[in-house]
Amino acid sequence: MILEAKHISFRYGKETRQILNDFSLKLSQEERLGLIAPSGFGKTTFCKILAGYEKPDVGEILLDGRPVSDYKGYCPVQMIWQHPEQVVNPRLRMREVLAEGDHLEQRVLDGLGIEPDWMNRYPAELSGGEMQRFCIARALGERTRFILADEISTMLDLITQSQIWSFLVDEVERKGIGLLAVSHSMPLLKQVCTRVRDLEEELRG
Amino acid sequence: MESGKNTRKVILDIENLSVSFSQYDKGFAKADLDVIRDLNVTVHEGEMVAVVGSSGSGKSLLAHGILGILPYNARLGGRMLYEGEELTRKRQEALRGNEIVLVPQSVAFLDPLMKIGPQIRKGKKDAAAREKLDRIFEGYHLKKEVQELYPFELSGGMNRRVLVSTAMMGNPRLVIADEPTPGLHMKMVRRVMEHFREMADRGAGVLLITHDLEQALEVADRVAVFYAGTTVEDADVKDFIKEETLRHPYSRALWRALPQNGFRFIGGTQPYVKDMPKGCPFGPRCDRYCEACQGEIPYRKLRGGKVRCLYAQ
Repeated sequence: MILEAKHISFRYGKETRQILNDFSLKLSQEERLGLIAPSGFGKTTFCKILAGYEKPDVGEILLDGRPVSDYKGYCPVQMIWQHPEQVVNPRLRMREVLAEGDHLEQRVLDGLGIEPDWMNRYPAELSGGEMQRFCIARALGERTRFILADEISTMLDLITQSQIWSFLVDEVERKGIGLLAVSHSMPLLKQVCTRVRDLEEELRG
Repeated sequence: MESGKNTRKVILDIENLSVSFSQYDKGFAKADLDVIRDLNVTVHEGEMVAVVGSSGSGKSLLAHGILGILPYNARLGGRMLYEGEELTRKRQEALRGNEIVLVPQSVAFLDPLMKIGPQIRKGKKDAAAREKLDRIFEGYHLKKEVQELYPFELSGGMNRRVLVSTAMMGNPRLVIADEPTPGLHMKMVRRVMEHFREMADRGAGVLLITHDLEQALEVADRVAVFYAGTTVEDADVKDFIKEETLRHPYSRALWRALPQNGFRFIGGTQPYVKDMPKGCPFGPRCDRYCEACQGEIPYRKLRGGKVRCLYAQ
């Protein structure tokens, strides 16, 4: 499969600043693409558009040539967010949070170091690193074809960051999932990606 | 970043600080949650010290402990000295906001019913205060109109810059910055860090509380490595250039996990407060874990720094 963003422009509301301006990007299932972008470029917004949470003002998102919005049911493009605590329902136990995913394999939970005992906890009883493991597991459902990782390890300590990325890289390789990794750290992207696009340089010309 | 800190005056000295919360567990049963067990850190004048620990390790409580703004069900242990004297509640009340300032972690610390300008000026209306605030805001690319807004009207990044401005208003002796930069762009992070650095260079002590070791290494003089409620090592930033100069196995594991140092990791996770192991909190993840590690482990001097490990050499 190919995930393609064509000439995307976007702004929140009429009076606000233009965020994305005629941005295009292409990603295959075999690659892991790293993205470094200048401040205010709209990295998170771009991920939200790719995953179908926002509609672009101009341009389209195609999955194998068909608009992503044509795919009904489970979205093959899944996003992992920077702040896990903001994307889990605080009133659900972690077991129920995981049930929002698509046929998750026990192997994935084990690989991410999710301990059985954590399943009965509420989000507030987990650390950020522990919660992010759940969010990654939830995104790695059976029908996921692309993962968008938006600064997923910025809030984590270095060891957790390395643990989580090492698993995620193995997993997307094994399942043939395409990965888009957004980060401000070039050393990190060089470690995890097959290709890096530095928009700060591209825009400078 | 010069050393020679031994000749400088100690501003803040924290010894074996502990913070525990009493909570209702099941029904009316009460349980004590020891979030911080043994926190040690010293800040000299003109020095920037970073307390580095992962999210959920309890490091924000350190800031709140120093200022005396912990919630009512928290219990403090250990010793806190400010300028050589015990930091009592009375002194905390007198010093905070004047000599000791906090750059808080979240905008929830702002008064939602007070406009930004008057709030940051603390109600001062004189020309000097106004001018100073204008200048600070200019430095952070905050328009003058922002002063007329309420906290809820600002974006995340703007709010963050407003919080940092609060510390720049006075002439503090001790600045405590609790995760001052998440959500800011790299350029702004650098600028904020430079300002803290300048305050230290002018003689204030700066205590930077962060999860970001790389950032700490860029600006701080010393780093206190914090793991699961305990300070495990106190090291000069220079000690982080090589793995061998670090003292504690956790600090070394952190070093190896840096993307530029190999991106290697160890298994396991930082223990949750309720299942804290006895003795060394890092024990279950350490190669050299043995029975002795389950007892009390002294915080001892080693090669110009400090370490809480029986085996470090």
